[in-house]
Amino acid sequence: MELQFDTLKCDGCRACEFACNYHHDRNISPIGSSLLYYREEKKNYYGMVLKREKSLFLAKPDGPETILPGQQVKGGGASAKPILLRVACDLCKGAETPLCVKACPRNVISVA
Amino acid sequence: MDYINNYTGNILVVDLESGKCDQEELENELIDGYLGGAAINLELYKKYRAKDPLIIGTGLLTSTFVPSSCAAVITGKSPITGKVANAPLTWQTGIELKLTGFDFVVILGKSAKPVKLWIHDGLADIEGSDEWGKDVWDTVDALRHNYGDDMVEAIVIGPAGENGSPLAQVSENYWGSKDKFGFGKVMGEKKLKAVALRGLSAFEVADGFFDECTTLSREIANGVIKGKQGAGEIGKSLKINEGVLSVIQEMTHRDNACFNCPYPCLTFLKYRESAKEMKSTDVKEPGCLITDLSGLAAFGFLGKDAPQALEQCFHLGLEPTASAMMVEKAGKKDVAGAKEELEKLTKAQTGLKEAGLPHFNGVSPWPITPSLDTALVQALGIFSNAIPPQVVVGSPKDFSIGDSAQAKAAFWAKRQAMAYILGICPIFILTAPEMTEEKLAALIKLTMNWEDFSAEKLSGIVSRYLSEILGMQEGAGEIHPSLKLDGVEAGLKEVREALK
Repeated sequence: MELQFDTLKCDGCRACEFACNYHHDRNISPIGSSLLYYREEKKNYYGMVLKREKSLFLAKPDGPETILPGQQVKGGGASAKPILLRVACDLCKGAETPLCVKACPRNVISVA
Repeated sequence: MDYINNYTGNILVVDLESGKCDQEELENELIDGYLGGAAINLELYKKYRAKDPLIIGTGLLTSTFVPSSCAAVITGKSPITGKVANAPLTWQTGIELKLTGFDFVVILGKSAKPVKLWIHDGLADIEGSDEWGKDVWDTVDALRHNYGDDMVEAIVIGPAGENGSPLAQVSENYWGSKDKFGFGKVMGEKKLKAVALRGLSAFEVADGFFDECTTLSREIANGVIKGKQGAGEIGKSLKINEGVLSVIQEMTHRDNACFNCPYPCLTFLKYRESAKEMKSTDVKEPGCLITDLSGLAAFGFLGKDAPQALEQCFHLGLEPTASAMMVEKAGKKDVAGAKEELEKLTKAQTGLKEAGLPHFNGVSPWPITPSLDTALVQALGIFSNAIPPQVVVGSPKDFSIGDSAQAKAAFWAKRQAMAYILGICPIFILTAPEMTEEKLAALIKLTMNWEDFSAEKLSGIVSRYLSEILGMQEGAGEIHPSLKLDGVEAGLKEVREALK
């Protein structure tokens, strides 16, 4: 089971990112999240990147991509990089529904 | 500090004359009495009035789980109206400010040479600005390159602000802003090219707050706005020029939402490559983001080239609605002519009033068919006219507003004041009747742990704020003859009285 993203429905509001951080750290901040909003702002190219246990998952507007350790992250600019240091998604262990799924107002994220 | 929730507790005071940054504590009494945003900004304005302050403040709920809690507010004396006015900052600017570790920034005096302000991780530095002379886009690129981070949020001015044009506005990143009051000129006079923000602070959050907020967010997403999105829907509500609505429809790439907002109103238009292109291609600047629908609509006379003229205003740091009116008056009918004229306008020292063009207190009006209620709203001169002057997406019935123009205008002003104080997007609050005063008060009560807080208290603080700022507007209310609908002057007096 992993988080899945319907990326073109995403509008980049970052509700999921802050919800994820709340799960990990019980506060409001973007710093401890497994999910990160990334963008190339002038191109309006944006999506979410997710730290999974053994890979990075890029929910890109032009299609999903999984990056394994040692592979280069392409696209997303510098804003997609700091995710490498983050704690991995645990599907909000202990919660009925992952908090990002709950927080997203546009039903972009699901578990499958 | 007793208040560990919602605020970092710090006010940054920047004196550009002495080149010093000081930190003050955000006193509990200030939060108790005024909550935040525009209301605390006004207190800080009064405190520092002698030093020509420009204040950027976050709201009580900015950067929280409350839907659309994205906003910060710029407060200062408008060089256009001569009165204290407010412009909201949306998208990610407000949250980034709070995350820097400062809730409010007070900018005093004038610098002798061009500077920028770099606020990050609880620190603030006044630095020399090599960006002076660059346009807005190059400035944002330079700041991000300089600080090594694409996620730096920037409040900048372009050539128009540097030259002290009353048509100047501040820009949030590349895309202009909702500043209609000439704060771009104020920044230029202060020789302040940019305020760059980056922060990774954290605030405590009350138990149960997250769940209450997501429940409200769901309710809103499944309410009046369900199935609707984008600037086009707002344009339909306002009955803007049909041609502009078609341009939006044809060129829409993807809609963006501000922080935590269930209604994405920031529509990105692509015109240098297919609007359907979802890849990151070699086209580095494929289009522009509509942050000010009134600006795009005012360029409607350019047909499909309207977005390019809007983009040019963003590059130059020009308020697009007023600029469009000036360009149209100059008889320019194509994008090349418009761009040439916009370049000239960056040096203009006169605005709409002096040009004899329609205005409210010198500020540009919405390019829509005038009606009494929307005229009353725009004539108030306290809040930004970039915000739709009426309920949008849904209808006034959804909010149970009375039928009279005065009732609609008073509702608008009160709703705006609430948004500007709490840090909720002032557009969103006009789309979401589900976000009632009662629900907002209950969320404040929960997150601040204020046992005796209520909707009445919230309403009282909002009313007291309106009363005070309206008292400071005496003598305002100048309306261009073309916008003087029957009853507007009497109506304005009534609305002012009702709000006081």
